[in-house]
Amino acid sequence: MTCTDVRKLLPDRAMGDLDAEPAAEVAAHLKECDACRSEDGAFGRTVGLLRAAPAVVPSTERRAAAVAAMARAHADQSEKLLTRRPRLPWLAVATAAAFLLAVLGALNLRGSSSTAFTVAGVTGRAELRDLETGLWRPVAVGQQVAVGDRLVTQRDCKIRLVGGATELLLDQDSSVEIGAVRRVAFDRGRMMAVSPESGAESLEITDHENNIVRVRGRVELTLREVPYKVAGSKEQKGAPAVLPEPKVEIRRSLVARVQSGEAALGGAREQRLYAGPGEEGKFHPGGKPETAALQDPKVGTWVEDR
Amino acid sequence: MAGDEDKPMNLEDDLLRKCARGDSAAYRELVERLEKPLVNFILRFVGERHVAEDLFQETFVRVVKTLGTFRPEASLSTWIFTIARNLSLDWLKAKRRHREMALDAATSEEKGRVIYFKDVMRSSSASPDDRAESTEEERRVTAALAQLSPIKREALVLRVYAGLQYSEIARVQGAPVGTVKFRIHEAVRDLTKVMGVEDDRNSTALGG
Repeated sequence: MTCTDVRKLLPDRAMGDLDAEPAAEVAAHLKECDACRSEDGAFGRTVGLLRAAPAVVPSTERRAAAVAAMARAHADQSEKLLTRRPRLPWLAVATAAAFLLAVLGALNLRGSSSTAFTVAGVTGRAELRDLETGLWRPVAVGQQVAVGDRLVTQRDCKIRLVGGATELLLDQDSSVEIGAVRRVAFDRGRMMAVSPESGAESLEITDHENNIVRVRGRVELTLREVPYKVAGSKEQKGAPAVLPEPKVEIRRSLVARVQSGEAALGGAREQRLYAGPGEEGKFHPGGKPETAALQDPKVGTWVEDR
Repeated sequence: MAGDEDKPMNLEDDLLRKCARGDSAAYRELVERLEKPLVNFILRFVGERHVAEDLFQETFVRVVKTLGTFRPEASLSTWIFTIARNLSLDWLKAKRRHREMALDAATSEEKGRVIYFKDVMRSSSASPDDRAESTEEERRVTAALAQLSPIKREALVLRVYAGLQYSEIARVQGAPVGTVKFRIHEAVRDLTKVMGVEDDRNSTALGG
């Protein structure tokens, strides 16, 4: 090893991050080279000084303050969840219930789960994982689906969920998690969201890359699996100029096809686009949304063919 | 049978579910588990004790508020470190903005009254309690760390003070492991340069 080689490795050596073999070679070089040894000493002193600086010690007050702040935040959250759609005659009731819930939360009692949907129809076999118990159980008509629950449909199975004026039809081989009363995390498959075309009751659908689609009216949502070719590394100096085989990665792309109403697409990087009736919106990897006219004007025909 | 499957993953899952329900015993366990590495990371990253204490608390508040967005593919602790680093970065950005504004005296009157204004005012010279608690060595380390770019400082501090593995730092920073290694390497080099200047002043120059 030359001095240049050794000096490149000295900061890593000071951090104790060198593998055994290069570490031994560097050590051998340092025995003989004063200049490198002195540089090594400087790095060593730096890291030593960093490690010697006194650490902040645990404190019961800090912990207690954090836990109290968390309890307050939880109470606030529960309150928001319940007051989100205040229909006037129920406003007082909802506020009272939210207050009661906040108090219960603060007292650390159970009962903070909130119903988002009710199962209105099932064909075939679907399962629901309860957030409270973590257990899977078959889905039945009339069952309540709470915030935090996850729903999975098997082959030849469809479910219809109703929550307020919003309806959600889940196709076979699909999976969703209820994030909040009007928010659904979409993991797999296809679904149809139906809600009033005007008014505040829009439904928010997120995918695993945190892209968001807010929908009103009749909108079909699909997680399409798209193979993306990822370029290989650059060619190296001296090596023959052969282009490496591109790697193929399967990425899931969230697609919203609008029959009526609209879909607002908020990309993971904050761009926003709207798709109207007869249009579809989708996301590129990295979160950039794009809208285009529907190639196949039939939307959600699978909903009817049962 | 079922007991054999009690891996850390399942423990985290369980803790998470209890947190989602608002169980304060679960909150306490989570805070206790992460207190030391997290508060030390934030302190060395932002460089001010009272700010670090605030951000520490805010991190856990944010955890409660965003539990619904947590994906089980990530580890719970890296997720929480990511929240803490984002809050810290926001604070550092606000601090820089305010410093620029303070220089521009005409505008500072109107726009200056935002959340972190008093912190920024305090930070222009370390607050009395900050000064009382710190030793000469600690001040020197804090001053030297402040010279690093945030991204390098973050990587180094996650390694040295939070004790995270390279792969975990990579997840927090959203960068490949190789990049993280390079950042830490560069951070040690830069720090040595910064501290070396002081060495020259205090003692004799390094050999070679």
